[in-house]
Amino acid sequence: MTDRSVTQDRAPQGGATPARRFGDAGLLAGLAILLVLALMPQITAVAGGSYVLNLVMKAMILAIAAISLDLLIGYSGLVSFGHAAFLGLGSYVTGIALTEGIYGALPILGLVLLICGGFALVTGAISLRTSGVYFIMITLAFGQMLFFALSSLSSYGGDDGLTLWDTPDLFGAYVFQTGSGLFYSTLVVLALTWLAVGRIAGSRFGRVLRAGKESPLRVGVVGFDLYRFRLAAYVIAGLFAGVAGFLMACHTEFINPSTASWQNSGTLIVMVILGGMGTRNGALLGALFVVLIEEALSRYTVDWKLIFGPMLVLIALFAKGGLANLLARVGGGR
Amino acid sequence: MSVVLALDGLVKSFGSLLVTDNVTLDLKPGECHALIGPNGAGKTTLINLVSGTLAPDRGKVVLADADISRLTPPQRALAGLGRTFQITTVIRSFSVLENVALAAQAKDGSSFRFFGTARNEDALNSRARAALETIGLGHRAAVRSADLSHGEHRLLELAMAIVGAPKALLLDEPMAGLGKGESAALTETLKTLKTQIPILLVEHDMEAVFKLADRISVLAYGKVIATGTPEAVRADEDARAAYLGTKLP
Amino acid sequence: MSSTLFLIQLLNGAQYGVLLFLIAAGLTLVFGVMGFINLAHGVQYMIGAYLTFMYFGVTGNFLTALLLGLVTALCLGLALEALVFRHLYDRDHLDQVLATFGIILFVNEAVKVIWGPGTLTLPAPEFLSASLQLTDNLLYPVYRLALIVVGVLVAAGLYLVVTRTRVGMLIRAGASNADMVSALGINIRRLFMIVFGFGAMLAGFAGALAAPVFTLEPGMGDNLLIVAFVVIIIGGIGSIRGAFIAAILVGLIDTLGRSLATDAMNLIFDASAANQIGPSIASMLIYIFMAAVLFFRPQGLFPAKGSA
Repeated sequence: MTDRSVTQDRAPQGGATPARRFGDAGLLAGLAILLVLALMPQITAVAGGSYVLNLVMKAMILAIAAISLDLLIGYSGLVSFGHAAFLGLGSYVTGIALTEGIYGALPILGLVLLICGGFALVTGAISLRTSGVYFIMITLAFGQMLFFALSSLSSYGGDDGLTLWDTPDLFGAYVFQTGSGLFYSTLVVLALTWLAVGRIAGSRFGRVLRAGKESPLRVGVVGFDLYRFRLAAYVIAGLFAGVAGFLMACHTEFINPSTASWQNSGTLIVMVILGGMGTRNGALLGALFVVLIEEALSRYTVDWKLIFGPMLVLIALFAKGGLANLLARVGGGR
Repeated sequence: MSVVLALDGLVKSFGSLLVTDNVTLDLKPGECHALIGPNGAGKTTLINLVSGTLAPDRGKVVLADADISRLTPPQRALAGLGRTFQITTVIRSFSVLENVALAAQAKDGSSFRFFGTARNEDALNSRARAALETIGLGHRAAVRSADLSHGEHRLLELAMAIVGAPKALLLDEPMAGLGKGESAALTETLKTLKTQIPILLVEHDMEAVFKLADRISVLAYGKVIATGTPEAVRADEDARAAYLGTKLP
Repeated sequence: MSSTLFLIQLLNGAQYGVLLFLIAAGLTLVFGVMGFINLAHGVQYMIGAYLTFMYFGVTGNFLTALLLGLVTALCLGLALEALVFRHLYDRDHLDQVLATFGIILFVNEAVKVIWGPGTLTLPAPEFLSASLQLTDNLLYPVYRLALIVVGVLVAAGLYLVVTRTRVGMLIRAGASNADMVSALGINIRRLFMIVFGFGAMLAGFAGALAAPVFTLEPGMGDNLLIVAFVVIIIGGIGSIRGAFIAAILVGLIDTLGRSLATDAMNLIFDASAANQIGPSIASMLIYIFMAAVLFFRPQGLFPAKGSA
C-alpha cells in the first residue's frame, strides 16, 4: 500500500496542477471532517447529549495517537506494536505531575514531551536496529515493559489506576477542564497533528521515509542513513501520542496502566489499517470508525468482541485495504 | 589527479574461502574500466567491497585521494560514489522524476526538513530533469516508475546514480536483461557519460564491454589475472583460459 | 534473603522458564519456518488450560483431562490453521497482525462467555499433590517439581526431533530457506500444518500444566505471549536450543528479580522509595535484558537464520 495522495495526482512537470492550486481533495475532505467534529458540541446538544460528545472526544484523542502511528506504519513501513505506551506514559506524566502539585499546563506538557521523547529515543534506538517481525515483537515488548512499570507504581494507584482531582491550567485558565474548553483544545491538537503529519509526509524528510518503506537498500545507496530518519520519525510519533495521553488524562480525570496495554496498541494499529495506511485522512477516519463500531456493537451485545474479532479476521483475509478504499470513497477522502 | 578511484590490495574471505585475493586496480578520469570474469570469479563481492556493503579484511578503497574503506554505503555515496544494481531497485510508487529528485536531495543540504513540499522543490526537480535528459529518459519523467519497461528501469537507476554528480560510477551489469537495440543505445549513452564521470563497469555482455572499455581487468578465483587495453586482453592467454568456452570478440 | 527462600525462587524461576519454553517453542518454530507472526499463540495456552479444566469436570481424572485437552487443542489449532492462517503465510505481516489480533479478541471473549469472567482453579492431580521436604524448613509441592521435570523432558525430546529426525531436518531447512525446501519437492504446506498444529498443542500443554499452579482467567495467555516473544528474540528466532536457554534465563531473571529488586534498591534508596522503585525495576528487568542482548547480538543468542 503506497501513499496514493502523493503518487496519484502527479503533475506532468512535477509542478502545480489545478488540483494542487485549490488544495487537493484529501485536504478538503479532512477539513470537512474536522469541521463536522468542531460542530459536535452543537450537534450533540440537539441529539445525543453529553454521552455522545464524550465518545467523540475519546475518538478525537485516539485519532491523534492513530495519526501519529500512521507516520510509522503507513509512511515508514514500521509496524510499531507499542504505540499505546506513549499514550499511557503521557497520561501518567500528567497524572503524576498533578498529584505532585504541578498544575501549569505548559510545564506539564514540557515534561510529557521530554519524557515521551526520551522513552521513544531510547526504545527506538534499540528497536530500529532490527526490522520486520523483530521490530513488531520488540516494540510490543517495550510497550509491555512500560505497562508493567506503570502497574507497579503503587503510590500512584498501581494496577487500579488513580483518579485525578485537579486539571492543568493554562495561565490560570482551565482550558483543559472537561467541557467545551477541553473539547476545543483537543480539536486544535487533532487538527495540528493531522496537518503536521500530512506536511511531514510530503516533506523532504517524509520522502526519505516513504522511499525507505519500499527499498531501504536504495535509500542507503543514494546517500541517506535511513536509521536516523526512522529514529526521528519514531520520536516524533511518540511526542504526538504523548500529548494525546495528556489530553486523555484531562478527559477521563483518571490514569490507568491499561491505557498502555498491548491491546490498546493493537487497537491503534487496527484504526490505521481500517482507515487506510499512509493516506491523508485514513488514521483519522479509522479512529472515528473503530470507536463508533465499538459503541454500536456494544449496544447490541456486551460481548461485542465476538463480532469485532471475526470482522478483523475477515478484513485481513479478504479486504486487503478494500475497506479503506470503501471508507475513503464514502468519506470523500483519498 | 590521475586516479579517481583506487582499489588497493583488497582481501576478503568468507571462512576459509578466499573470494577477493589481493585485488588492486584503479580508475582514471575519462575512462571506462571494465571488470570481467566468469561466474563465481568474485565480481559481486568486489562490488560490495567498493560500495561498502562488505568490509574488506585487508586493503583499502580510495576515492579522490580519500580512504573510504571504513565508510558506510550512504557515506560512500555522499563522498561521490554512484552505483547501480544488477537487480533494479527503484522506488516503484514514486514517479520517475521523484526517484531522481530523491537522489538529488541526498546531496543537497539537510533532508531533516519536516515542512515544505519536497515535490515542489524546483532546484531538485530541475537537476533531476537534467539527469534524465542526459541519459535519454526525459520524456518519461512523469510516469510512475512501476510502469517503466525493464530497459527504462536500468536507465532510471543510472539517472539516480549520476544526479549527484559523483566522482566515479560503479555499474553492476547495466546491460543485464536488455534487448539488443536497448543495449546498443545504452552503450552509446555510457560512451558519452564516461568522459564526464569515469565508470567502473562490471558486465557480462562482452560486445558492450569491448565497445566501451578503455581498459579491461579479468577476474578469476578472486584474483586479477590480466589488465590492459581491450586488444591486449583479447590476446592474453590467461584471459582466454579463464573464459574457456566463451569466445572473446 | 535466606538461602531457603533463594532456593524456592530458583525453583519457581525454573518452573516459569519451563512454561515459557513450551509456549516459545511452538512460536519460534512457526515463526522461524513460516515467517508468520502468530499473536494468537497465547490463546492456545489459555485454551489448553480451560479445556483441561472442562474435561476434569467431566472425568474427574487429571491425566485423562490433560490428554483430551491436548487432542482438542490440537484439533482447534489445525482448524484455525486451515481456516485462517494458511491464507496469510504469503501476506504482509500487517495482515497477519490484524487477523491474529482479531482471533485473540474473539477467543478471549468466547472463553469469558462460556466459563465466565472470573478466575477458576484446577486442583493438582492427587498422586502429585504431596509436598517434598527439600531442606529442613523447605516444603515444595511435588506437582511443581514434576512440572519442571516434564518441561525439561519435552525440551530434550523436541531437541532430538528437530536435530535427529527427517521432519526436524526439514523444519531446520525451512527455517533457513523455505524456497529451497519446496524446491526439493517437499509439500511445504503440509510441513507448515504439522509445525503449526504441534506448536499449538505445545502451548495448550503448557496451559494445561500451568492450570493447577496459576488461576485460570480469560486473557491469561496474552501477557505470557509477549514474554514468549521476549524469549525468542533473546534466543534467536527459529532456534529450539536458544528458546530453551532464553526461557530459563528469563524465568530466573524475572522471578529472582522480583524478590531481589526491592532489597537491592534498599541499598541505594530509603525504604519507602525502594518499595516504590523496586517492583517497577523488577517488572522491567527481562525487557532490559532483552535490550542488552539485542544491543550486542541483534540476531539473538542462537540465530537460526542469516538475517531477520
